[in-house]
Amino acid sequence: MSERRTSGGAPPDGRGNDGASRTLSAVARHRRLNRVWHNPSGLRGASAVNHTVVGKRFMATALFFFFVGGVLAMLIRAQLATPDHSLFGHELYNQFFTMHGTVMMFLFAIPFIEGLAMYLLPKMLGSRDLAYPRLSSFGYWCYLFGGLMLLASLLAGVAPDSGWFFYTPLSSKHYTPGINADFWLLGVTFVEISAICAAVEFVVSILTVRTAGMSLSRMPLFAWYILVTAFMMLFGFPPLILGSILLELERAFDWPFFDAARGGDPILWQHLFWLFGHPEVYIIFLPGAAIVSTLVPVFAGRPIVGYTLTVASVISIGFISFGLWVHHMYTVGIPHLALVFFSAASMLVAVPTAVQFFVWIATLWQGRPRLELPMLYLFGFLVVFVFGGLTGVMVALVPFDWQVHDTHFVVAHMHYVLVGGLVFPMLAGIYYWFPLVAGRRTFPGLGAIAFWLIFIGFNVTFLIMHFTGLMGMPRRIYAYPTGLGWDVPNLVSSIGGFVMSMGLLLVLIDLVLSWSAGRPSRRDPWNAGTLEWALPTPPPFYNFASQPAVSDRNPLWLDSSLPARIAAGQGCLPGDNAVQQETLGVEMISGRPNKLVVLPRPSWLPLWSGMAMAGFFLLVLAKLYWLASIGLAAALCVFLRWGWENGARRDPGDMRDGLPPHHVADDAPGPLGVIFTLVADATFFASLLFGYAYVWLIAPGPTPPSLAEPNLAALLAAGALGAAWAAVILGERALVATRQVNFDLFMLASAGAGIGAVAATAAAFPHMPSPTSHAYAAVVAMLIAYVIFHVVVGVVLSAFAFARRRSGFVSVYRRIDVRVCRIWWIYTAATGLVTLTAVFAVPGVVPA
Amino acid sequence: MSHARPLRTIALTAVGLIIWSICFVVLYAALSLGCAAGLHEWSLFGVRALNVILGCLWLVHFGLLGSAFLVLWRTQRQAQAASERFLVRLTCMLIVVGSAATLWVGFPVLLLPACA
Ligand code: HEM
Ligand SMILES: [Cu+2]
Repeated sequence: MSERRTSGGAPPDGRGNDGASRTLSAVARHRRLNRVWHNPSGLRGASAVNHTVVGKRFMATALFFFFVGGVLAMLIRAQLATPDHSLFGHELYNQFFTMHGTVMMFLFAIPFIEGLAMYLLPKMLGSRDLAYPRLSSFGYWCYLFGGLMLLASLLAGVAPDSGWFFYTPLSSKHYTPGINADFWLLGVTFVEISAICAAVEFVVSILTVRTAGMSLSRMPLFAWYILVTAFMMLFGFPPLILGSILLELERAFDWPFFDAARGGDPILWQHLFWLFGHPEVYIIFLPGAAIVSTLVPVFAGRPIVGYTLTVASVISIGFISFGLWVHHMYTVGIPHLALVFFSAASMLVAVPTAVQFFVWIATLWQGRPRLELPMLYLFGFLVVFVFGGLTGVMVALVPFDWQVHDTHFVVAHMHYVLVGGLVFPMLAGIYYWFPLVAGRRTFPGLGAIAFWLIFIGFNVTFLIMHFTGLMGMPRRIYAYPTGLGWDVPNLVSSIGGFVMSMGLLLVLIDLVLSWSAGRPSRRDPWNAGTLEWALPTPPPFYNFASQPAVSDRNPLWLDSSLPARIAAGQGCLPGDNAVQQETLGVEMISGRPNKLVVLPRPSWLPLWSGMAMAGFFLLVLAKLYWLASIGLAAALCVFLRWGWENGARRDPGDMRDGLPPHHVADDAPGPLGVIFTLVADATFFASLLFGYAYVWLIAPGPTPPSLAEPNLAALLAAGALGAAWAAVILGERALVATRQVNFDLFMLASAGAGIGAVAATAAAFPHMPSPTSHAYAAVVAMLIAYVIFHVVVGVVLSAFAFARRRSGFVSVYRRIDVRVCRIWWIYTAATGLVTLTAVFAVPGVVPA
Repeated sequence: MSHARPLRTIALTAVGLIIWSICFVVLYAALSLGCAAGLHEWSLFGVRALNVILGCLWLVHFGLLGSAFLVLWRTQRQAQAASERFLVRLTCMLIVVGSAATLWVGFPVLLLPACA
């Protein structure tokens, strides 16, 4: 199915760089580009935003947290090795397993994947950076500070201890009065912000920042997997963020969302958590599979069999995995028929997963497999993950799950899936890309010994654990009496765990040694076909001296002289007279270049805004809410400053190479990013509406005290929202018709309408009971707060667009600020109207 | 396959699965709300009313899937470039997946009592 066709020839649009500039030698071109793309090192390197730097930072930090999680796992295994054994008491044990799960899932798995994708995507897609380098950097600081917050709680002995899925009422104020739970709720939310940033970054970059000729059908499979994963993050993380905010509100202000006595329901937390939690498993697995799908063709020496089929199955997994969440809740008493829906979907998702296995096996079958070190790890992945899948089908069966629910059987299953689905592919990927990142080879002997230690250690630990679970040993117990038959299997599991850790340590030693003393690697040591191997190792900041025009999925297999031609400046945008950092922007489907994306220089703004956010979260943690709002305002100021730096004050004169700069393009990255951020926001809103319907209609307990009555103020609020919506649309029309003054007036009008909407909404609840009295009142208050927050941001954006026009940043051609403002207002008005309808109109029509 | 709105074209490749998702949410919501409202205690001609409602809701989605397929069939001739034909193939595969998934997840509404 590969699209091999005649080789590229002239780049499309005749956009080779002819004339005088081609006289630069490859070395001179490198010098020039390096000067333009240079990033500071040392302490000032904190301002670096280049994807290579930020990606490596993400990966290194994630590996550090992997180490932390591993140490915690060893502590757990040491405790369980012998019966009645008390290295530490139950308080510490609870903290250790909770933090082990939390660190592994939120601080290791997801961030490592983000870092790997950040590092690789531009190199694979033939571009020079991602669409929003500063956003990645901001995400990194959110991740680092949030992670450090959680780590600090562990060192201070007040770490979260309610299990990684944090069920209420155990995690609510009554049973966990201390600060432990707040660390989790705030720290994890902080880290999630970075995941949302990364997801927006990946979607927009994959869709619009590629090299010439790289159509969707020629994209490396890795990019497809990450695209689907990023979408899953946009839909998967918001429910958890919402749940965390609600639980923190309940803990801090006694808003009873999950308190059954006051009309809330702990089951609501379980829904919100697993709405995130199951997709999370696939968010972790798909990037692992992405690595497999990248490596298998290389070591089979042929293109993948069934490219389209693979893409289809990945997209199917992305969708279906959102229909499974209730399988974690089989034991809470949900109608049978509903259980059958979820059980059916749980089995269904195995089909596209199996399709991928067949694709990999068929590719190996048709090719000539070479057994090199990364393949060894892939073999480990195949065995371990398939086994985890089998036990997964077992627990997807409702009656079986009733038996093993909350035993060590589930712990064993989960680790087969997570270690099989992520850790083994990750190690394969690390060994595979190490020569690219470091420019050196690892020591193959060490890597192989490490593999066998990990593989054997892993199976000894967790295979046995299935039986421990079937013998009835519950998970999350800190000690067990002797004489139940659990002693020997637990001891064996613990020994296996330490063998596995030895293996992982050996990998670490191997990497550290090879980094400084490994044999220098030649370019493309594995004979791979994708573009990252066309780069010199280690790659320069700018990646490509000129961006290759591709006509195949495996450009390096088609044309082995490609690296030389890239270096010789024979592709697009050769850096011969580069003065700013630029890369091609393309049409989403065809990959035809249609704009020049101008990228930012190193900047301190991401760090400042990350610190402002950290200040906010720390102050909320300390319950200093007034000060915290100052932190939030500070963050807002930095963001506005950041927005002010973008764009230009003049319309572009002659367009370089016939391509307009991105800030005048129709599909500019900025508005696209806002759209995808709002996709996540809309998921948040939908989850909140779900919570509203749930508390109102489903939750047991007392019926809501009094519902909001329709009134004039509510009608006025709706009218004001509609007016703001109309004003931004008319404003943009006025701008296009070059009636600048009208534009200014419309922007002011939208801001005024926004202020009016806030006032009217506040007046619409004359008799609203206090949010602490009943969960219904609390959810309504939350909905109203949501709308007001969006309106306030809208007012700021209107004022911003107004100011930008006055300062000359906005014109008929340069409309990014205006489009962002319009998109925001449309979203705000739409969600506001839905909210008002849900709160004021629906209760009158539907009897509760 | 219009290129005027590439984002929409890309999103619509998953139309089959989007319809499946809607069906899934609709069935689950209707079941939960129906049980909460006590609809399962009624019966129509000896058949449980809630199951009839669920069954009808389920069937509607096959109509949607069918029309999605027809639209794809009519527009696929305009797809010229390799990248467009790729998207057509992908859309088609995903409609098939969506239909199979809708069938598989929904048929229990014909067999099981709703709120037991
Ligand atoms: C290094 C090897 C590892 C060992 C020896 C290990 C061991 C364990 C054990 C014994 C438990 C159960 C604690 C209990 O219920 O009392 C556990 C829980 C858990 N592990 Fe691991 N683990 C390892 C790696 C990982 C990895 C790589 C991940 C994820 C990517 C992970 C995620 C989890 C999660 C989510 C839990 C559940 C925590 C909870 O019950 O709240 N583990 N681990
Ligand atoms: Cu699950």
